[in-house]
Amino acid sequence: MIKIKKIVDLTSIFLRDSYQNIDIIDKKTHKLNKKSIYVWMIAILFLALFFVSENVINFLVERGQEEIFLNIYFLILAILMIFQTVLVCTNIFYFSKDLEFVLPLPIKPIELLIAKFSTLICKLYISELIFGIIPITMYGMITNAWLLFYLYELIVFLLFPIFLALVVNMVMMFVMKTSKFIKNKDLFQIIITIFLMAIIFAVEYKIIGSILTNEQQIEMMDEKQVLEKIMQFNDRIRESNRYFLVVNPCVQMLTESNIEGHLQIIKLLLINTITFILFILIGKITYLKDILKNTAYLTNKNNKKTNFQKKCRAKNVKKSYIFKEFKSLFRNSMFFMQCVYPVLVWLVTLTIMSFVLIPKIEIAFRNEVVRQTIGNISFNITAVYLILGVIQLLFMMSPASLTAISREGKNAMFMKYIPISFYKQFIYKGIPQIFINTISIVVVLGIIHYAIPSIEMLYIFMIFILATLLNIINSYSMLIVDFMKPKLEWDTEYAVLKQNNNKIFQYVFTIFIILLLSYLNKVLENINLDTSISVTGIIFIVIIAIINIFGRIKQNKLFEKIT
Amino acid sequence: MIEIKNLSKSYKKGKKVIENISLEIKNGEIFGFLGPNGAGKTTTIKMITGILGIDEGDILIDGKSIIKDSIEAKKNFGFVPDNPDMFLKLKGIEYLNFIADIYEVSEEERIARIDKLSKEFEMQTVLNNKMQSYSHGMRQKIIIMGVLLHNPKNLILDEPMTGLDPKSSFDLKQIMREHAKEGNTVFFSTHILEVAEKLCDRVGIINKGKLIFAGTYEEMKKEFKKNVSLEELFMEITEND
Repeated sequence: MIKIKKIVDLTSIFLRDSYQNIDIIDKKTHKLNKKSIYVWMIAILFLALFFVSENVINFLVERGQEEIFLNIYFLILAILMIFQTVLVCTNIFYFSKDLEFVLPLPIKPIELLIAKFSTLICKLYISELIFGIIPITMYGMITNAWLLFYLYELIVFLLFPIFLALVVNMVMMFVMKTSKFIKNKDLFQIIITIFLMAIIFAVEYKIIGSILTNEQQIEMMDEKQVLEKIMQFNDRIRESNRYFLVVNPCVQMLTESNIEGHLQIIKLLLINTITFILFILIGKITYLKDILKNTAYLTNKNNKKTNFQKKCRAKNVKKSYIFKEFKSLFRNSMFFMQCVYPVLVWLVTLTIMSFVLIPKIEIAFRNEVVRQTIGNISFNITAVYLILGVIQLLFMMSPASLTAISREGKNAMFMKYIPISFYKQFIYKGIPQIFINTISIVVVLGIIHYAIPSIEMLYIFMIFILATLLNIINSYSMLIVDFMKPKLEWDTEYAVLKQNNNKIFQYVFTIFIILLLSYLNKVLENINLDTSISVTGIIFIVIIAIINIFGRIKQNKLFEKIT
Repeated sequence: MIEIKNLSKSYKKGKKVIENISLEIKNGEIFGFLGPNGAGKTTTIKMITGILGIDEGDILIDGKSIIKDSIEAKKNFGFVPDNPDMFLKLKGIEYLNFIADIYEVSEEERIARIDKLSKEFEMQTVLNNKMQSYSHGMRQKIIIMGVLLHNPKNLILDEPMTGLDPKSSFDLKQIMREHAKEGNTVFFSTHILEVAEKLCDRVGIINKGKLIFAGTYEEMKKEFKKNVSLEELFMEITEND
């Protein structure tokens, strides 16, 4: 007999463990904590969603096409839910630290499985609350919806992520069965996430591809035909949303608040219940066995005498230190997933989008109206800054330098008693971030070269140099932030990244760089392109020199917080 | 040789956690650093090893100041911290090789020493495993192996016996004795007074940031005019202070 109270208690403990340091509510006053960075981040996000949604919905309402908003928004929300599930599910179900403490307790595997699933669903609800509540409520308000709409909105939010999460988790459980073939579980966690992500990318590619088909005639269209095209576009989105099974019923519930809406609730409940039963059945057979297999790995020993002489090759201090940095980052699945993986995901998304969208944009540019509206586009310093801006946004995705010291935790004091100068260690610590960012630079420039072959290779190379300089500035600026405010006291690797308030500095820094690029654009737009690029390069080099001098002079100060 | 000269440290202004400590640990000597919890043992060790800054005074490791000539001073000691959970994603052999690179131990020398140390600590079979799979005692052993790998003149250990099984603990004591016998310095903090009594040439007792005694066990008995065990003397000294 499954005990619901146990499941609720477990879920609550797992959740409290995940969100222990967020402090949105002040513990003393029980009011909103205005000092919390998260409160401000959510407030900014809410404001941004409010303005964007309002503009988009109003634009569509004026053309009688408001439904398209719900279709697109629920598609985005579905992809977001799936992405989040993929990123956290393996860790929640199989690799979390709490399993070691929970397994000895008298809890049935099925209770543990349901508690873990409830934890995941609660996390998805929080994301829904942040990303979904404002746009959908705005939709209701602008379209003068009845009270029933808001009741349905609540039901939709409760039912929407369940099916998607269940499907991803079932695929994950199935893939976990193959884990016996892979001995290295750290590597396996990365492989399984990449595998699940690859499935999503394939679906994403197919959906985007099917939505954006047959646009060849766009160059001859008038406004009426464009409207017709929008309607066809809406139909295609709805057709694509069918793949997700729960998206169209949710949209229908919100657009038809009548008997049809009630039927959709029953349909959603039915889909969720059947999938949940299936999930429980699969989990019952596989879950406990697979968890035990993973925890056994952590204490697994080869117990073989190895010929270590081959592995004792001497390297110079610099090489050895940097290698150690890479190993610590890439071998730790949690650090890899948080510092490297998001960049790879964005790069793959960007590449897929580019391959799908670039031919469509080319077709759109054949339209005379579009050409007149946008004007003649030529390669100038604005384009250079635009590319650098995109690259800067990608730099923001990886907190490798921002957590380079924090990731060491209590081990950080190792840096202080080894005979390597603090300045040298400061330089070495920034290298992994530079490496990760270089991948972003190469991919973005590759896409640019593919999309606009008319840009001379010399300019591509010049942008590469500028982006590399920007990369160095990013890496060491974020490293300084981590040195100034390291988070060295942590119990789980998850906490050092997810509960690290320093992330706000990376966002602020990106805004600062984009503002700097906009300012430089204004100042340099009328100057010859080569000169503008050279001036930008000199400015970046000066910034790097300042950072370098700071690192050298203040090296003792930088390491002061590590005790 | 480790020379601590008029060492003081305060975390808050006006409240010293270490107050004017002076101490000299000679070559060939095993020195036990004793004191109750929060007395300032770890703070002192952190200052000796360069982890914590020094407010007043200086520390010389084989004549090199940890303040003015920190890199050279650091080359002269090996440190075993109280928490051995380090670099858990590295394999034992990778960790040792990394330490050998940092302290610039030649290839031939490192191979010979790793071979010898892994036999002594019975770690040959697990060197190719990641350190996350090691028990607490094994992690402690690999850290100690890393320290001994570069054969430092001064060995500094913070609570080294914690978590070691009886055999490893016995072996470590042997190694400490041998290290001192070769004319090197061993400085370690401990709560286990029996170990200090049997192993140390001299002990230092710190309480509330002040060094209240430094000398041999015999000198201690003479000074306090009592022929009792180190444990009993320690209790009396620290309680009356």
